[in-house]
Amino acid sequence: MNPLKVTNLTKTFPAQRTFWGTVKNPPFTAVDNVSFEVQEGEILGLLGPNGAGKTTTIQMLLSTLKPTSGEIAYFGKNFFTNRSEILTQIGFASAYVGLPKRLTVRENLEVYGRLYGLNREQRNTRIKKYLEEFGVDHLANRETGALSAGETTRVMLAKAFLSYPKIVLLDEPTAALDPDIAQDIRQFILDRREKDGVSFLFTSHNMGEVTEVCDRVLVLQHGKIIADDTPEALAAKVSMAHLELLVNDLEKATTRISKRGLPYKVHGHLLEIEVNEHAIAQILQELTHAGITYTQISIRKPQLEDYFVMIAKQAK
Amino acid sequence: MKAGERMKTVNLRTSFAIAQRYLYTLSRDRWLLFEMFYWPAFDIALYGYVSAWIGGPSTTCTVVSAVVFWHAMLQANFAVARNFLGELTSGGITNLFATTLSLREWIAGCAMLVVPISMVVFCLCNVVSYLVFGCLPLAIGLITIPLLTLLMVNALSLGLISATLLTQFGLRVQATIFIIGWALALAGGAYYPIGLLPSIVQNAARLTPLPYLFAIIRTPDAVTHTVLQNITMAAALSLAYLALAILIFRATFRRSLRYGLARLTF
Repeated sequence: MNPLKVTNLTKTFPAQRTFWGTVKNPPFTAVDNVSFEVQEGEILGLLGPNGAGKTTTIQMLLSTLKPTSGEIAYFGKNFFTNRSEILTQIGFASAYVGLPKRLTVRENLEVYGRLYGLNREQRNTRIKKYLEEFGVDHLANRETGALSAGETTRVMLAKAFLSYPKIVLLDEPTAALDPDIAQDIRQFILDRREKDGVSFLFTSHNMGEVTEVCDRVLVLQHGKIIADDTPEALAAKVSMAHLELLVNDLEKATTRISKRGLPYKVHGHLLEIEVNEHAIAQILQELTHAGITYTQISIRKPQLEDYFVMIAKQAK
Repeated sequence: MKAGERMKTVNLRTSFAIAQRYLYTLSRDRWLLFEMFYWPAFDIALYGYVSAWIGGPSTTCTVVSAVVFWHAMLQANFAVARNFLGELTSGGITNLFATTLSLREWIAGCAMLVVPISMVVFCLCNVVSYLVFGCLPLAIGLITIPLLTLLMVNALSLGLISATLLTQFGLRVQATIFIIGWALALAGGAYYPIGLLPSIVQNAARLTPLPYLFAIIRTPDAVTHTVLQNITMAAALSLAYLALAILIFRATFRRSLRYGLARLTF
C-alpha cells in the first residue's frame, strides 16, 4: 500500500470580491489536475518556480486547505474521511511556519506531543531523543523566539518526527541552515528512510540537495506536473554543457566562438562556452586547427539546476 | 473537522494541549499576567470609590461584586481570543491543524482554558475587593457556582466570536476582538441595572443572558423563585448563544479552509 496517492487534485481559489461586490481577484487555479504517488521509503522532490503550486499542494496534503476536486489517499485510506487517524502518521516541517515564541523549545515539543496523543513517557523519551539527534538539546529551556533561524528549523524538524511518522512533508527544511548542519539533516533524512522506511515529500530551492536526497522529482509549472523523473534524467534534458578553457589567445578564441553563434562568458583568461555536450569534441578540434591552444580544460555536465533555470525561464 | 469525522469523540489530552499552550505563555509573559489582574483591580477600585461616594457602603459592595464577576468572565474571554491570536501571530496555525487536532478539540481546549482563568481572576478579585472595601463577592453563597459557571460559558462564546472575526478577517481585526467584551458591558447590566437604559436597548439586552445573571448578583436577597427564574433564563440563553457561536465559528473556519489557513498569518 503506497503511503500517498494523489489523484486529479485541483485547487481553484474562488474569486475575491470587495465589500461592494466588485471582483478584486478573479478565480485562480493554483493546482491543476495533479496526480502522483509516493512509494514506501521513497524521497520525492517537489520542484517548481515560485507560484508553481508546491505550497498549495502541501497545504492540501495536510488538510489545511480544501481541494476543489480530486482525491488524496494515505496508506490506501481516504484522507478526508480518516483525517485524524492519518495525521498521526504524517510529520510536517516548514521553514515558513512558526511556533509560539514565548514557549521554550521543550514546552513547544511537549504541546505537540500532547496534540499527537503521546503519553508522558513517550513525550519525554522522544523529545530528549530528537533534541539530541538535531543537536539542540542544550536549547531545551530557551524561549523559541530567542533561537536563530537555523536552530528554529531544527526544532521544527524535531517536532515533525515526534509522532514517529511514516511519511514526512518537508517544505524547504534546510533553507536557513549552515551547510554542515544542512548536510547532517540530509543524512538524518536518508537514515530514517533506510532504517525506518519513512517516505518523504520534499521541496527545496537547493538543487544540489534535491539531487543528493531525492529518488524522484516532480516538476510543477503553473499548477501542472510537467516532468516526473529522477534528478539525473531531468538534468539530462538540458543538452547544454559548460566548457571552460584557459586559452593562449582569448581574442581569437572568442571571435571563433562568436562565429559559431555559441553563448560564452569571459572570466579573466578563462573562457566559458555554453555548448551542446555532443559538440564539445568538434569545438575543441576547431580551436586547435585555428592555432588556439589551451592549458586548462573543464567540462561541467548539465545539472538539475540548469533544468530548473530552463523551466523557470519558460514559465516567465 | 471533516464530514466523516462528525461522530468522533474529543481527545481530552489533545484538547488540554491547547489550554496548556496558553498557560505556558501566561506563566512566562509578566505583562500579560499583569494586565490580567491590573484592569480588574483598577475597575474594582474605580467603581468602588465612585459608588462609595455616591451611594454608601451597601451600594459599594453591590457594585464591586458585579465588577468582580464581570471581570471573571471578561478576562477568560480575552484568554480565548489571545490564544487564537497567538497562533496567528506566531504563524503556527498551519502547524496546529496539521496535527490530529480537530476543531471540536480546539473548542474543548478553549473551554479548559476558560475555567482556570475565570477562577483565578475571581479569587484574586475577591481578595482585592475584601482588602480595599471589606466586601467579599463570594459571600452571596452557593449561587456563586452557577453564576460563575454561566459566566464561563459566556466567556467561551465571546472568545469564539473573537476567533470567528480573526478567521474571517485575519490580523487586521486583532484590536477589534478585545472591544467585543467591553461593548457588552454597556448593556450587560454589570455596572448598572439595565432599567436605566432606553427601552429599546433594554429590550435588546433582555435577549442576552448577562442582565439576568447580574440581576441576581445585584439583588442576592431576592425571593428564591425570582433567582431561579433568572438563572433558568440565563442558562437557556447562555447555552443558545454558545451553540450559535460554535456553529458560526465552525462555518467560518470551514469557509477559511477554501482559501487556506496559512493566509490568516499574512
